[in-house]
Amino acid sequence: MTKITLQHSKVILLGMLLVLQGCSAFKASHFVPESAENMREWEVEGRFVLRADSTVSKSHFAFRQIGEEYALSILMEEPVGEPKVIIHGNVYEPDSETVDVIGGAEAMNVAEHLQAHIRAGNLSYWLRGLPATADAVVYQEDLDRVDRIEEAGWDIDYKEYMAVQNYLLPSQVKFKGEPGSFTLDMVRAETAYLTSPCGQNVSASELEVAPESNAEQDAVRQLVPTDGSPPIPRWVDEAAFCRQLVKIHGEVPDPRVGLYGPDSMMWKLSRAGMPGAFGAGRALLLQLAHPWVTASIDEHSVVRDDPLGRARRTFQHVGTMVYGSMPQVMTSANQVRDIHEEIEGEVPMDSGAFKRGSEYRANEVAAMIWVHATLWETLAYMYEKMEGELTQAEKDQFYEETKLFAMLFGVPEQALPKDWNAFMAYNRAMWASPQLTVAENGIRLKEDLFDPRSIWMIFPLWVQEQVTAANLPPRIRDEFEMKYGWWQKFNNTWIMSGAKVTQWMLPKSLERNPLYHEANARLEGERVGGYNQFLIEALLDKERLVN
Amino acid sequence: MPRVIALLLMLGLAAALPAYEVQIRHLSQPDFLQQVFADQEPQAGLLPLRGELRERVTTVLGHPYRGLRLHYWHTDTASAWIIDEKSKDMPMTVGVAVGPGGIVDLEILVYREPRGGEVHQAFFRRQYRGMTLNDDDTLSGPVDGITGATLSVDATSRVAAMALVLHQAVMENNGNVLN
Repeated sequence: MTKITLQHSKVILLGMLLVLQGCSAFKASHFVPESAENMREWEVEGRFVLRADSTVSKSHFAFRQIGEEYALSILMEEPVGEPKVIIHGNVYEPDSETVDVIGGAEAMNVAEHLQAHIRAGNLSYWLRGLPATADAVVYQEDLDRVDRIEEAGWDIDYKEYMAVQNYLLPSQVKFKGEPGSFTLDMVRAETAYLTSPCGQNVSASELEVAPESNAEQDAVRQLVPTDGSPPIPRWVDEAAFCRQLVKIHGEVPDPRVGLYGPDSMMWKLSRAGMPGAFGAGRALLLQLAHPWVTASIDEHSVVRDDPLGRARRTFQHVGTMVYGSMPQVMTSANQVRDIHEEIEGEVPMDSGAFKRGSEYRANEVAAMIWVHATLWETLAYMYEKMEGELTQAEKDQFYEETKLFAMLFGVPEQALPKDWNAFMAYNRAMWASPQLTVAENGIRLKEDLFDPRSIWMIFPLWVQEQVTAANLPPRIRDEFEMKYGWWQKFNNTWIMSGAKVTQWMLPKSLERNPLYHEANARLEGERVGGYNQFLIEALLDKERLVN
Repeated sequence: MPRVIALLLMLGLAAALPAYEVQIRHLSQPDFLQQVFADQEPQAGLLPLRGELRERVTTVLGHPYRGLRLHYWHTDTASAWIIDEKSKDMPMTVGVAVGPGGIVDLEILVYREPRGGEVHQAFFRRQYRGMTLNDDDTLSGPVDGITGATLSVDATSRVAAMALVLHQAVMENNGNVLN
């Protein structure tokens, strides 16, 4: 009995939780998709089976559209890799279709079979759940998803949909008609930023990279002036932001892999769930110790009304930037910039180096470098505490990788400390600098952060508070009025020991970040497993994030 | 056993997190069309956005429109459009009905931002009624803004002007643009 119980522990626990919590705990977000007509650059990948004329043709495929031009790649057996045949065309010029044969007669036969029965240009619409022409008969009960389309001799049945970014796209479609049947199973999709990394408001001339000074600059001294004054503000406008994205875009060889990939230190450090989870409070309080960050959140964020929603949106963007494909990374970078663009104001009270009434903006180089530094210094710090020491070479590699992350916010590389040692010198200088000063509003936000609003959150937040107090630099901890006496030290000791033992005993598949699994599934051209998909949906409120 | 504990902790945390509900559908597409056309039977159409019309729309919006075509509904003299336009970092969905005398109705169908949703209020939307296009494709009248919702107000005005441009294009072509 015990054996059976343990074997089916996941199912039993899920069942128990559903019963205890009620289905309301798992209710989906109120997601109102944008019309798929708005997708100007997009791609879907999947597999098709065409049965017609007593012939069965099967293949993995990728359909990519940039403006009016489309390309249907036939990949045959491999879900990822070089296409064997590409059918090109223009949605408004049905007779313009051309076929490039790259690999073999078998693939050519599949392409010819497909072209005989399905116009690839129509797939541009049908793959998005849209009618190709105004003559189509559309059946739709739900407001956001088409059930059936009758068009061009086919009865197209939309069986399943998947949520991708702001869109709801078909994931399983079955065609029936005079010639036979055609089924499509979609695995993943990209919905924007396939050809260009930024929005459409920046002209080509603005994108030309401004010459950068070759003079050796001491970035740490610029960011933390030794006289205790604040750094000179360097605002990041849209063109400056876009220039950094263009640089990254050009450096990444495989858009599917994204910024980092399986061999990166970034994935190595962030795939272990616990260092990031236990370090979250430390990173957040280090950020809140900066008066600009406190004022931004206090005056512009919904964190007070919806702290978990705010945390989720932050993790969605950070997770996408670390694990996403290049189009996904660029989508997140542009969304975050748009959000930051509106965050500006005046510092409400004298706070250390910053005078009351002085201007602040979220899109400023030094402020963004500080937020960026708290994330990656904390991750490395907690990783070493929980997983083991990193070598100097590993730290150097990790730091070089984090520079790409900073550039996603428009921070130019030369504004950053040049290597890991300089980066740590910067962090230590900031911990001692009056640039970090916790005012009344900072303490209030800290109290909000650790305020459990649900009975389920009492223990996790208490643990987070104990661990945060233990790991903050002492001056910052004192300014946040956090106790760190024998009782807190005792709690931190058993919490960290317990976490390490649990981490050691857990199978890697459970211990690792679900986004790491989802990103690996993307690299293989597969869907992520149900367990990790459940976690992504439950924790991040997204059906899929990086696949 | 540790597997079970870890799973229990993760599921417990997951179940405790509430869903993120910010996006609001104020009015569905069928209800909007019903409101505009009442008991008339509008024809549905698809308008390709190409060439000069695309350029004109780009000028009105201040950026290129992402879609390649627009669904719309029309009678001999009136047309209704449903257009998505980004306000801050998420698009809002706006329905605009245009008749011979200019804008007849403007509704915010879906609002997806956490802030700025006041553009949904009737006192704001009513301002657009009767507005037409100036020769330079700007709106014929001023629009009073809403404090804290500047981007949404601007986006609504851009959509209103775009709908007027599209209505002109359709009426000039007398339905010939339908495919």
